[in-house]
Amino acid sequence: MPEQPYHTREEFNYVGKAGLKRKDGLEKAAGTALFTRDVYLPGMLIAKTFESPYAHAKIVSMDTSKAEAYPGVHAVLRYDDPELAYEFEYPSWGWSAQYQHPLNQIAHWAGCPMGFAIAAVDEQTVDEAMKLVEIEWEILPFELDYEQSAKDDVILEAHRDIDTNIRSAEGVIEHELGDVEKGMQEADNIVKFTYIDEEDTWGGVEALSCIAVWRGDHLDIWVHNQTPNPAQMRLAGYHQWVPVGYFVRVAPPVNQYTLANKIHVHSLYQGAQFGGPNWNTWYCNYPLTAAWLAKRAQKPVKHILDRSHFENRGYDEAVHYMEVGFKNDGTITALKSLDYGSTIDFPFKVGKGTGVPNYYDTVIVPYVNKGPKSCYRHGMKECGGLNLPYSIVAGELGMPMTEVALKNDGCYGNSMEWINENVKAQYGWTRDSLKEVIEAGKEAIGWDEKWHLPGEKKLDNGRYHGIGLAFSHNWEVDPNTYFQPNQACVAIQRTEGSVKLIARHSDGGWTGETSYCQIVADELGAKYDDVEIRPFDDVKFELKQGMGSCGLICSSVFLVEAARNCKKKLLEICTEPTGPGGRQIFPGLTPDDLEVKDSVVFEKANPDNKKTFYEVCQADWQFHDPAIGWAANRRHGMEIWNLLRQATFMEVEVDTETGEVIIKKVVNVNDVGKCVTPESVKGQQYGGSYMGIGNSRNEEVLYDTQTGFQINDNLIDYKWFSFNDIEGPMEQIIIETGMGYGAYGMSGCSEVVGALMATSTSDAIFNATGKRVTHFPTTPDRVLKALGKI
Amino acid sequence: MKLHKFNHVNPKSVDEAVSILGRNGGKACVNAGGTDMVGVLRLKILPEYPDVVVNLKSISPSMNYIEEDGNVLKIGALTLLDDIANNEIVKEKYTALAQAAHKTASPHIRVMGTIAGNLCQHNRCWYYWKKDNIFNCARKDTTGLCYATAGQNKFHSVFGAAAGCLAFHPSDMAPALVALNADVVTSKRTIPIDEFFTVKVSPSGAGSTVLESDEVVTEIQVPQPASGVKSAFVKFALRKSIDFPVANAAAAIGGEEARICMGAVAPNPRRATGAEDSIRGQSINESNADAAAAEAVRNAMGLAHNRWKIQIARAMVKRAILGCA
Repeated sequence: MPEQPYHTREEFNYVGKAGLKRKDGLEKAAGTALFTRDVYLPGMLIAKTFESPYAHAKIVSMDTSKAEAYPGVHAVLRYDDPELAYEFEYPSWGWSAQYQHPLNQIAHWAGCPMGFAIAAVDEQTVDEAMKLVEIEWEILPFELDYEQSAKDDVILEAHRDIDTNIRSAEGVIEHELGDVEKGMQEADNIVKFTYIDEEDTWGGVEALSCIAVWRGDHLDIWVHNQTPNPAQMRLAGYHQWVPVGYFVRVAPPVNQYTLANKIHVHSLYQGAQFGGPNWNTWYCNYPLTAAWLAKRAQKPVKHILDRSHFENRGYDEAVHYMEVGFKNDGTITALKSLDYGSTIDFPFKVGKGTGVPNYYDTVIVPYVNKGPKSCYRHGMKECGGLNLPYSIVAGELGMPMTEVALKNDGCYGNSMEWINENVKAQYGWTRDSLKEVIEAGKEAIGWDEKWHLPGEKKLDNGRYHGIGLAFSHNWEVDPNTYFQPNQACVAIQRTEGSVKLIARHSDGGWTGETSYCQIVADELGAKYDDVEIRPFDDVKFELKQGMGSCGLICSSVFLVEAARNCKKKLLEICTEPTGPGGRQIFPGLTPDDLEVKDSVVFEKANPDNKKTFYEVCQADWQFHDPAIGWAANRRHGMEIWNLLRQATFMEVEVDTETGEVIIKKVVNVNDVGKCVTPESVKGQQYGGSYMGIGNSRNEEVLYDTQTGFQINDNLIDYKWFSFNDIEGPMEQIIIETGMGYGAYGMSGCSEVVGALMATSTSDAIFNATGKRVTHFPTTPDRVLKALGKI
Repeated sequence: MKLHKFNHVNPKSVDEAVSILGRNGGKACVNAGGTDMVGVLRLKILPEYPDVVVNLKSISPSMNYIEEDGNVLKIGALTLLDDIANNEIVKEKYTALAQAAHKTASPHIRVMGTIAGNLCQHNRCWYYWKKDNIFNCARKDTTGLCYATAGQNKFHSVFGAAAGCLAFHPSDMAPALVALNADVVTSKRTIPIDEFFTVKVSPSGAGSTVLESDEVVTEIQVPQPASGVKSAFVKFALRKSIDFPVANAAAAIGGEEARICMGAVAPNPRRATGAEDSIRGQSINESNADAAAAEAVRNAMGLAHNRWKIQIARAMVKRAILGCA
């Protein structure tokens, strides 16, 4: 059973309080926030990496001499240059295993950055010089389809050393719970269906870039990356073993030193990172190109990538052949799935949020000649793997989805009754999260009045009305695996008594800086405005990366500890005898006699006996230690159970002439355990909604099967939604049961909001039309096909 | 990505603009609102690029107007789409035109984009628009292939190819102007809108209209619909905030008159003459509108990925007809 939530606390001055001034608010609202692409240094060169004109090809020979001689070119770096002459076969999270060398000799997809890079005085000179490079190619066969790749006789070059295209890192994964065959035998009904999720893409609005400048043997580098620490370590020659988090040396460092302490990585605001590419091995490698070019040219170099919006593919793309067994009362007895193209999280996460006792999943992960696959704006397949079977069971039995959800809720195959009993035994209390979430959502959307049997409500405007639900557990980053060696420091500045949170953090857009300062202010007893973090610089303290996946949840634990350690030190300074005559700042008192509030230390029994942080810092400062508290992530091995629930209720109208699904209302209900910054949570709920609706309705990367090129790799043809594309109102509800695994029982919700849009829409389409769409995105052509119109 | 290098000139009159175009012999192009052309230059999609860009905005005040002259509505070539969408006369008498302008692109583009630019814009095919001219296709080179034929054609023509090209014509204004039987006035002549659009193979991108290299649109003339004739425009796009049409349709129907035009389903805007014949002279209802819409797509023939567009086009024609009831 799960351990008790970390760091209980009864009263808060700032945590959970709305209306605080965002730490990053003014910069972003005023348009003065600096992003990596904004960085310009005096004398800076522009660099680009060549992009492959073939989907799969190998450079046989390459002549760069004309480009090197072209006026304005300062440096050319080739795949076979000595700086890069070592094996880049790093272990990775698998999605990018075929694409690790910063200048690969082999192109693994059409448009793949590879081969060589040029640094010149401006972009046009780079473009012109690139045309002068002569390459002899060996063109290789390519494959874009996962299932076909798993069966292909043609072995892709990337995996030439083994006789299959199935990746070695994940290969074939089998995940089992209970006895699925026995569960199927116990079922009254068995339904088989295919669930397809097409490829989506990152679509970040700020294209990748990296700026490198050498100052002696110090390297300063700015990276557009939510994980600056792995990027820094890669420059030092290390690779981070994800997900376990430790580093191993795999290559020489870019400078002559064996440690990373002369490499300074700066992480500015991030323009829509959404996760994924940060973990991709190549994106940790591409700063290497900038660093080596800057070293050769002896000038600052800005390495820019313009295709990066679209070559990064989401890892939801997969075909799932699913089978669900269930009893006539809606109890699901077994769930079985065979998946092509998905990666590890599908089996992992489905099991975490269900009481279905028997479950078997086979995941086959083959190579294809497409860009790297990463986790960002993701989770739909996990939610689909859970919700589609539930929705189908509800549809088959004529039951509302809400009833099937509650009937089968649980964790790792255990029922909610069992879980509640055990949680209560350990915590002394328990709450039924899904029940609370569903009741709140039903009331907000008017479920009891609006739900009807499928296809039975035609409206006066000719459309069909539908209502649907999808739910999931809390989003989590399992500390057993994904926690990194993070740390933070809270320091009261001796000169003025202000509070500095010393840590590097990469902006995820969810105002993490504000939330961090709220926590520190509460735990230290400081005023919120007195606490500051400027997280852009390399201070060698690293918060949990702001990649969106539970950054606050994971960081909150050691932030609380750092702030409490700082407070402890502060009170020791106030009471320890030091200096001439052993003077005390609060004579005759012990730390237990004191309390701290609003940046003032005072005697509990006599609040008028008080000193501000400034006064404490100034008093005999030369004899005291500074008030500094430090803490690191130390939670490895902790067990997590997913007790919190999230739900999206969706009301739609379906135009059966065009296949259009019109969103009439969205209600998100999210049990976040403990809400730190209400505006941030609601921002994530709104943002997740529009992004998830667009993703589930329209976003789909399309390829030219003749050449392997993506053909809708732009924001006109790739149908990214905006808020204006959602017709109906949204309502956001926050529930706080305190059963999460972060400090104060908090947990994350932002990704799951987006992830739930697809299957809640699918459930609503079924309710509207009586026809099932399990091929995502649910584009009009797929709806029309389900309706039998085409 | 940087723009291709070119000389940017600011003529003071149409005559001067035409003179510059003539002197540069096909190596010059005009820029009206710039919302289409800047993308072409920035993405370097064409084999040949202009040495000179003639900025018509420098003569904009004299080409930016909406006025009724007797029974003809005259719209200057550089009139902004937003002005057309919000003009009371257009909204009342030429409803389809106002609706089409309002549905074009996004508010930001409508305050930059012009009516003539919308008519003269490049086709919308992802192979044509691929950065760095990776697909030197049939529209750009007489020896080029139409990659959409065997490739991804989800949004392409459902009425066959023109000059070997399956790209669809993306204009929202064109179907409305065709339905309203407009004329296009240029620096050389007056062209009935039905004859204005064509498909030419052109390495410089001048392949969507019959305009010659030294010819510019100066005005659009729309005859006032006869008494009892109503017009309507409808559009289906995957995004409502900003998008090109999957299919659109405009109709002007009343008395014995009926003109219906479909957009985004063929290389040129396509008159639905079968539908016109079907609905002409009838009192519009759901049933005969549906029957006329079926006529409109009778000869449509989908490709591997775009059959759904036929159903969408049919729905659009039906709704445009019903909009005239």
